[in-house]
Amino acid sequence: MSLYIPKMSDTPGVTIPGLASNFQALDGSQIVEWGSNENGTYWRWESGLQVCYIGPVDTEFANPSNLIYWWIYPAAFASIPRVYATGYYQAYSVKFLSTAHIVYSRDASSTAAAIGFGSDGAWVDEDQSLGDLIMGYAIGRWK
Amino acid sequence: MRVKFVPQRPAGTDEPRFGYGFDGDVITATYAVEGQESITDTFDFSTLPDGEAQVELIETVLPVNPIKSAKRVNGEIWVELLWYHGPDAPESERFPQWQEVS
Repeated sequence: MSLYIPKMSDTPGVTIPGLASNFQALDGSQIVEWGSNENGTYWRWESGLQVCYIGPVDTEFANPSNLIYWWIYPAAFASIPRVYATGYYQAYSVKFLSTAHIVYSRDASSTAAAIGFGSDGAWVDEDQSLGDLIMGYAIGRWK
Repeated sequence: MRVKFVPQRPAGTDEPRFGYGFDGDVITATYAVEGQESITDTFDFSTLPDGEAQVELIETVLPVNPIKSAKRVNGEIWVELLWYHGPDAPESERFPQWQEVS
């Protein structure tokens, strides 16, 4: 088996001037604040970029289709950020692997979002204790 | 009433802060920004029956709804309230505990 090494021509949108511009923007923007509280960890850049994360944390049983964690970001955003979620595999669970059809974020606002595991109506209360946790990431602007 | 503050850094550079007063099952919330007139609203939970309130339905004149959860358990109100903290807030502010306020 040979290893494929990606080339810039694979992604026509990526150009040397574009990359240079990105690095120049980063060079001029330092982290001005970072910290953590019970809602996670955040970083703020001088340019206005903000990144937050939470977890791994337990979800709660909301209904047969949703194991949810209602995430209040550790730091609010100036507008609705992009929110991503991923599972944290802590323990083997046949039911979890066969039932969790999607790891999602939804209902994102500038201060909070829901992240969770979706199923086709197969969750029951206590499934949130099967051992799989969730992590969330939010990327947007703080000013 | 039992209260737990939910810590968050506010967006922007205005550094707004929430302040709270408690009287029985009533909470008075004040939103303050330095150099601007404060905004106050009152949240009365005296008629909340046992169980959880739908806080997303709460209407307020404040820029942000500070009530993050509210429920009555065995006759007592338990509320989670938004708490804007500064960049160098102490651990007790960033990781608060439930407290009895009235």
